[in-house]
Amino acid sequence: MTNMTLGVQLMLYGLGGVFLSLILFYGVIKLFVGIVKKDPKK
Amino acid sequence: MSALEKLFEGILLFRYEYLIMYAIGGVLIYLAIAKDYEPMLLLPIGFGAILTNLPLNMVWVQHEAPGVMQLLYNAGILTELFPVLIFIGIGAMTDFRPLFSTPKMIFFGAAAQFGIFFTVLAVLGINELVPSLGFTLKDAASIGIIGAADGPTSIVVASQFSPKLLGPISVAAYSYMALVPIIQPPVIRALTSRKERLIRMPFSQVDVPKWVMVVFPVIVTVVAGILAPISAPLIGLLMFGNLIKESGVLERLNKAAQNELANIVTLLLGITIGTTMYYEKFLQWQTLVILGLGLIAFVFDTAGGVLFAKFLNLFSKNKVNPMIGAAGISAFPMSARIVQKMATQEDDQNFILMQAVSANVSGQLGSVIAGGLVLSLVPWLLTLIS
Repeated sequence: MTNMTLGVQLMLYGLGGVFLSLILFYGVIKLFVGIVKKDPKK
Repeated sequence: MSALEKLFEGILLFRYEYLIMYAIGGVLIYLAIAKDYEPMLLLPIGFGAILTNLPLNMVWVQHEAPGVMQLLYNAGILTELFPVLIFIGIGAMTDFRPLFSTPKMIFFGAAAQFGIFFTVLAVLGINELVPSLGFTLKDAASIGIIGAADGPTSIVVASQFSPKLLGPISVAAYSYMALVPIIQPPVIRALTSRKERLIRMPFSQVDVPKWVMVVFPVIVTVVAGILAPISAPLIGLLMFGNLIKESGVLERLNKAAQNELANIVTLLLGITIGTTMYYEKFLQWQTLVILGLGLIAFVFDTAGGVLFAKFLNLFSKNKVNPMIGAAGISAFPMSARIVQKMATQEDDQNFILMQAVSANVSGQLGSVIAGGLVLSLVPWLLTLIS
């Protein structure tokens, strides 16, 4: 396996991992926003 | 050695390369003072470069024992202590509220990390063409992480993977962060039409209660810590700083994190990084290549964010101004300001600052996570070929 192949794998897993993490944070934020909008007094 | 030689030891041991390093240090100091380019970092780095290139380099090695700057380097950089402590200050200065009003912007914080990984491939490609450069995968990852547009993250990755390249990588990271107002606009203009730059985006403020802002940093820490455990020191202390701020009951600590802690660590970090720029390590072809690739990283970060916004617009009913994608880098708040400035240049009634700030804050999260993932993925990938 060449370094270039490893680089491509790093790009796939790295960018994928960053997107995955931020998608989870997006879910968390949307959940909070949903709770806040349902019950704005709290 | 005669008494006379001992007396003039400094003069006898003087090398012409020192003069080149003084000029480089002088340029950094000039940029810091005259151009106001990241003065908090570039000035100490510039002075450190001069300090370490004095005959005998006594700040680094003294009587065959570590000198004062090497002690600071071993204690603060190699252990990651300084960059990680700075994250407490950054966390205390960061406000995640805009993200709650425009959560979709969080994806630009991921897309604008594209430059990191593109640059890794570019380094490896150049290394194939010029094998004498001798860059390994770890070196490529350390150079690529310049694209995180996040000094402390670059320092953490470089100090673990390629300590010998720490000087040029840090100089590139901080210099290009300061040059974001010059680097980003031409890339954005090249990739967007005027019609796209005129897109307006409605903004409705969501009033976020305090408890949400308190819970958020804790959840982010846990999620990031589970997905990329190696990023826990970085993201954990970033979120700790944020929690101190949002708690509202630790005002003294909040101020200390934003001011005293951040200032003291920045001061020590800058000069320590500067003293790693010893001429033997710095005056190499590798340094020029790193400076060039750092620029590529920033350009492709910007391109990644803008093109991702255009991609989203293919499917979305509510179009995103693609310039927002460029604000997904970690250079906060410069990048958001640039995007707003460009929007105003096209249409003085187009206000997209809050969306740009959301993307910019997401970039801070994205860059730290990218750094953590690179730290964990590279050693794992290397086990595949061994």
